[in-house]
Amino acid sequence: MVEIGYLLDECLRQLAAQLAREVAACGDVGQLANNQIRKFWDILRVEQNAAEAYRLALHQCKKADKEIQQAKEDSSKKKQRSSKKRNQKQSSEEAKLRKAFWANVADMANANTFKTYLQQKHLAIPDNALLPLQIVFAENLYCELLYLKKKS
Amino acid sequence: MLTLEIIKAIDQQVDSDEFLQNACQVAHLARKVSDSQMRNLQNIVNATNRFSEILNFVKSQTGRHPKDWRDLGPAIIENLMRIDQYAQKIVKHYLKPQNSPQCTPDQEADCKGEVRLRLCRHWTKMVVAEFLYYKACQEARHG
Repeated sequence: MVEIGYLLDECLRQLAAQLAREVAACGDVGQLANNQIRKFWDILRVEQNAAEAYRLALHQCKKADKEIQQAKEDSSKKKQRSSKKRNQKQSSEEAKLRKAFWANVADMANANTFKTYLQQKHLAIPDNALLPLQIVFAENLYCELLYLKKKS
Repeated sequence: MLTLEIIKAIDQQVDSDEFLQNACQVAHLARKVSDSQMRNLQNIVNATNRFSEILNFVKSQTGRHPKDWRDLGPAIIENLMRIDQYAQKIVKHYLKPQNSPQCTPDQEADCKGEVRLRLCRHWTKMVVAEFLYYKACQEARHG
């Protein structure tokens, strides 16, 4: 087990809190936590497979991107009620938030970008210690989203 | 490694009325929560070296049991953040550059982490003690 010092713990906690806050505006954070982030965390924790977790995040990112494209196409169609257009605009905004969120989560599941992120915070971590930190990050994110669910 | 002055400062903080009052308030908010959940909180606080693990436990419990933890969860989080500030104050005061010129920023950070954990352990112990006492009194009152 890797010893996680104060600075590292704070860094991972704040990062998770920031990502959770940013995505909180897009509706059901409880579902996001319990279905997708829980799965992301389990892949890291149980399977110890950061590559698979990265693929999952990327897949969610692409899914959100498709939703954005779809919303764009729908809004370009004429003869729509203004309420429907409003809904489309809102869901497009939510999809954008989700896309940005998953892009950041994917960065954290990728060893190189995660390491670069930590280096920017002046934290030098050896390669073999990255996975435990990614697990801690995923756990923080899951709990943060659950807590935001309660607030919303 | 904590210096004797820092350990004394921790004890002073733990002995303060404010610290005790905050613990009592939180214990009373926990009346709907089961004994085992409070014991779990104490076990986690005593076993972990990561402050975020304590926050994670409280946050996940609040998300999972919103009825019981609705007021309790935010109150604990608020107090833990207050404890973080106390730890910051203690470390800033006792690790001034003139007092400990050899102390590096990393050592200072680790020291803060250690102080914060010690304060958390004391505070949780007080909360759980008050919680159990309050419950026992309630049970005695209602036969």
